[in-house]
Amino acid sequence: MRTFALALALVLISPALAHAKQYRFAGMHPVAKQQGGGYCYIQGPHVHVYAPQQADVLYRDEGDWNRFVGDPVAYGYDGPRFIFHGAHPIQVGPVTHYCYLRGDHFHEYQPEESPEFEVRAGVHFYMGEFPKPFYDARPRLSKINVVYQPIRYARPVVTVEAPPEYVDVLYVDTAPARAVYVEPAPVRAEAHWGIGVHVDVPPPPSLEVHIGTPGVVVEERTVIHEVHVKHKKYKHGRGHWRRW
Amino acid sequence: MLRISLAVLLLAGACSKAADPVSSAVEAWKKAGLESTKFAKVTAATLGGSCQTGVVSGLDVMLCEFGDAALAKASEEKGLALVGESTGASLASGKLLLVVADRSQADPGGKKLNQVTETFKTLN
Repeated sequence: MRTFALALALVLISPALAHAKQYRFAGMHPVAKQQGGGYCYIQGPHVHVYAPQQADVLYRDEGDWNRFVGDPVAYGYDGPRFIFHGAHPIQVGPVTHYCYLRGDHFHEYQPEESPEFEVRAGVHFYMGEFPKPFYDARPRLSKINVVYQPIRYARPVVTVEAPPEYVDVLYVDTAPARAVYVEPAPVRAEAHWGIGVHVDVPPPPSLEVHIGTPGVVVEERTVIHEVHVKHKKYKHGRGHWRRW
Repeated sequence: MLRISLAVLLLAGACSKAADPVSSAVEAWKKAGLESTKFAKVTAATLGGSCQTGVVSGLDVMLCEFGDAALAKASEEKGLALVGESTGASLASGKLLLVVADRSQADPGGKKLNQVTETFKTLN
């Protein structure tokens, strides 16, 4: 009886909590495809009813919050942007994350001035050392490149050469683990969404990590780029549009 | 003497007006190009503190004033619960707590909600 009364009191005090299905985001991020896609421009902590997509590689944990660490332009971000080349730290207050995107890409932030970042023609090259946790997570988090490769968007056009001392830690690896970037020839894929849609899509690169084994393994994949003929507007299943 | 008294009264009036956090917030949102309805007091003790609600550019907004900054900060979680199954945020700044929810999905990219929260941060 006492437990029931306590439970009832909790529900009465906080009715929204009893039903809330929320996902927490620490800053800007792509909007889930089932919500229409695009980009969410809320800079501070906020909640949505949908989960972060491909959270294992596109997001980092900040306590209960999800921090997007990818290239926002691929998802339609139209705000200020800065060009980076290769891996680099992402400083969020006292927390350091790492970006594992290969080659030239955008972020919506600019790193604080530091001798570890060399800027050439607007491109940020990280010249500093990476700690062990970066290398430990590299096999798993480098898969972000497989996510980005098939996405068609205006990537940065960079003509400047990297500084001579620059080391591409996502391309060159050290023995006994060796990362090999394999770029197969483009394939033609067909996607059917009620009407015939033909899409030429280059396949994603595959990042293979070989431990003490020489040679290259090519993983064959067929990628179908999603073509949305019609965006469905999300509707709440519960249908309660409660005001305060 | 009368002049001095009048000046003191005027100053006191100006100070009390400037201290009204809801008016300051609404003014700041309007300056940022957002539209705001009048705010009404909330009688139910949902979050604690003294709360008022209104609609800012289609977003449901609740502003609560607490006795101190720690109480406002501690109420952020309750604010998120109040957002429920919507896009929203709960943010403390000084003694104030802002809870904002996009219940009518008026702001799919969150740009307005971002303006509401970022403007709120500048108030203190």
